[in-house]
Amino acid sequence: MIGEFCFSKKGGKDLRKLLWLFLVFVPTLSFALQISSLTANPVFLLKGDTVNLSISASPSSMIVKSSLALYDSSANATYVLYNAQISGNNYSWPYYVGDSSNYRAQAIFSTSAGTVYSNTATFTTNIPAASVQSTIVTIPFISNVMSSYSVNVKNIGSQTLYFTTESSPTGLSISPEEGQIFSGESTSISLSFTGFFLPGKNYTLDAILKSNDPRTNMSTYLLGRFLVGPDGLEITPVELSNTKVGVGSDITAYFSILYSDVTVSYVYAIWATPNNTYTFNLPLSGNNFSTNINTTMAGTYTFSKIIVGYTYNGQNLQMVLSPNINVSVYDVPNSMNLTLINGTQKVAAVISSSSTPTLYAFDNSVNTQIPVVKVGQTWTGTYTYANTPGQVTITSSFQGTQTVISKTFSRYMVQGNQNLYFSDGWITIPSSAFPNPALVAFYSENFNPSSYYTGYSTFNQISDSISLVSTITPASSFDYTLYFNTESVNGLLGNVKVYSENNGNWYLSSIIPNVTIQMANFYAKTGTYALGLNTQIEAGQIPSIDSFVAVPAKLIGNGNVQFFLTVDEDCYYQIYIYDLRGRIVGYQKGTALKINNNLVYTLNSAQLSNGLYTAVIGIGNSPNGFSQSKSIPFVVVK
Amino acid sequence: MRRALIIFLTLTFLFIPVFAGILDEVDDPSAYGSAMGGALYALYAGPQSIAYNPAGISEGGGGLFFSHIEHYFGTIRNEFLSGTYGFNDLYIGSAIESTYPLNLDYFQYILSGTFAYRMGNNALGMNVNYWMGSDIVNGVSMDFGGITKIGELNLGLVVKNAFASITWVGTVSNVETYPAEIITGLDYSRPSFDLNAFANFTSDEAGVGLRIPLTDFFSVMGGYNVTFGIQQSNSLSTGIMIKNYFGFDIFVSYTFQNLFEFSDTINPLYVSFTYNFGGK
Repeated sequence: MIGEFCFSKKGGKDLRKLLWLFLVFVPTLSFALQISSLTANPVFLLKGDTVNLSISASPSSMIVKSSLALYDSSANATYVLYNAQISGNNYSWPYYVGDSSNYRAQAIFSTSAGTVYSNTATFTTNIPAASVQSTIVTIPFISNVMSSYSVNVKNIGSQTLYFTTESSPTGLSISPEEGQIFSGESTSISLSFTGFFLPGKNYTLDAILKSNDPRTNMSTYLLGRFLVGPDGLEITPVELSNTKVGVGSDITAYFSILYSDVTVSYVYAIWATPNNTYTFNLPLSGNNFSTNINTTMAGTYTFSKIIVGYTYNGQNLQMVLSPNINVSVYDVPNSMNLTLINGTQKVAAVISSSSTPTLYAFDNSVNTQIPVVKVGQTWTGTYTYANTPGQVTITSSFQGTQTVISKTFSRYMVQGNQNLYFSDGWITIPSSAFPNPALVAFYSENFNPSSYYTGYSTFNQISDSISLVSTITPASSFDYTLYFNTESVNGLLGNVKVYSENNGNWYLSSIIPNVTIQMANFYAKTGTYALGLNTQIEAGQIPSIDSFVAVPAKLIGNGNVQFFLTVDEDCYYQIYIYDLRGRIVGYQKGTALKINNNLVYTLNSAQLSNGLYTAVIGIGNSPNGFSQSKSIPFVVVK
Repeated sequence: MRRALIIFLTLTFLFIPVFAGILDEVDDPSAYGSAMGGALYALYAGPQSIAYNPAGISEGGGGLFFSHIEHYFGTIRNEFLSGTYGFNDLYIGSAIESTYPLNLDYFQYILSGTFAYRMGNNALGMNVNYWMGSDIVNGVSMDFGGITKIGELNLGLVVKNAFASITWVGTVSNVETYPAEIITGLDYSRPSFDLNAFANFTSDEAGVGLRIPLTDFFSVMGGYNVTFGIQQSNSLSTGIMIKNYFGFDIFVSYTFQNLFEFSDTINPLYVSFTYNFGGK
């Protein structure tokens, strides 16, 4: 059919026509304008950015004129850009986008053969867009207490930004976990630690924000990167032996301290009993610790704090953990233990009770009341027994109860070579153990061979003192134990110093005390000592007065007016007492600590007339430069 | 005259170290006195002289005086109101002085009756003071004063708080007595300046003050006051005096007391007014 068509006469004529058309149109088609697709880059961008619209067209010699039609939907306007940047066959129109809108663009080429239109390219600035102030935090030190951080995220686009957050890997708490931010607004995202990190290892934790920001590679943001470790100190959770026990039982708490690149200098365990607080200085050995307390009264005992002192990078630091685990202690009978003090004729009665005991000694047919001293929940009474053989009975009754505890010990006069046999048959003391003659007292429950003396006193204020005199010949040194009120030195243990008294004046001693939360031990010769706090005044700190009070504000009768100062930083102070004429009738300079109610001056009214006075105090971080002053009136009426 | 001045100055600055239980009162309640370092004891200063030297009221026809001060960062308030009137050479006056603190239940009043007699260049005066207060049952004291002119100097002598005895609501000894205070004052007045000084030998207080009149109606003043308690207390003062402003004399002073100790003056501002009834 085709051959017939081609080779027939008519077909030959048509073939020539077809050939002619081919010869005419193929060159024509070969030299028509060829264009690629018009593209916008980027497609999503912010107002104020520049978009590049590009296309290639060839042969360029055919192009008489090129332009770009741009339609701004929010303005409902069409702009025509003529000045294309031409590089070979590539035509591009960079366009600064000054509006939040959706755009359409089409390239137009005019040739001698006619006008050629490109496809329509779109781009938009009408998008949500996140701006994040990312942070990278290096936390070389792992501890139970680590700071929180916040990161600000702002929507710099024109549409609402929706986001979610996550921790990668887990270990960070990020709040909020999801949310939305309207155009132009911002929100704060908080980052904190929830994971358990072991010292000695490194951790990298990323806080990630994912959003509907359509810009290329802009949908996922790093809010923060935390490089944690490897140094640090961690206290594992605490376990208690019991949470319900009877009075007299021990409670033990167990925990571990894990650390790396730190030196642990002390570990204190603090127990809160129904009406007191006890602090134990735990021996440092290994990572595992335990502390136990003997219960002496009914109520709730709380394992309240673990305080770890450590050295890191040359700094002496402290970590405080508050487990606050409660133990219910129920009532059991009162108890009394006797201790014969070796080398003396004294017996000490140590009583545990929830009520005040009354103590009597029945000795040689004489009933003598023994004064008792209370330390914590323990009462101690000491009795010097007569130098005669026989029995001594110590009896304790308890206020508000019918309970009476009575214990007896025996005295023996060793006159010759005789062994002492005791009724229980378990103990025989050979006669060579004693000089001849000798008075030997024996109490089978407890025998205290210690020959040293431990002095103690209970202090209500840090400035109280203790005075000890050696009863041992020759005079030897003592272990002094001074107790003080925990609140007085809260957070200031490093400031506790020993002061010694000489001719009525107190001097900072070179003795370095072993300070725990409620007491300090030191070793010294006979003398009078006090615990004091020395200030740590920093030149750059500006202290301010929290309170300044006179007690009493109106003194009736002879006595002292005491002035108490509370400041927010250790500082120097100077106090003047003025009468109404402006005369200074009292004066004191000194240093005050960052504690409540420093006693800064005591004024005795004997030197004053009755009337109205004013105390003016100035404080500052140098001895002669005061940054704040305050005055208070007070009255003396003797 | 020079010998008298030397003796006076010697006495003024030779303090007897007496630190007795003197009466606790505001003894410098006027802005004029504060600006002059407290040295108004040889001046005829009108109604405010009741607080300094009662003989000083015996000039002019009398007047009214009011002053308000806030001591020690404002914790102690003091008001002094006085009035005088002259009958030829005899002058009478009265005053009430109240002192009270902020935030504390206490107040004390001193009611004063004053007589003064002018004899040319000399004058004598006397206050009888009655004490009342929240913790005071009653009390009396008397002040005696004199001013005499020697050459170009006015010399003042005051025996303050003589026979002073106050019954307090106390527990130890209800009646408290106080020593009489010996005070001398000096005034050296020239047309271009007015120099004053005083010394209280009993309470160990002293002061000097200088007033320079710039016009007939306007003066500037400066003063220095020192007290010797167990520590020295210093005050530097400055002030202005506006005379006869619609019949009023206005005194304003600013005092820098122990400025260096506390980085701030503890007794800054005094304001006083005097209304003159008109001179004779």
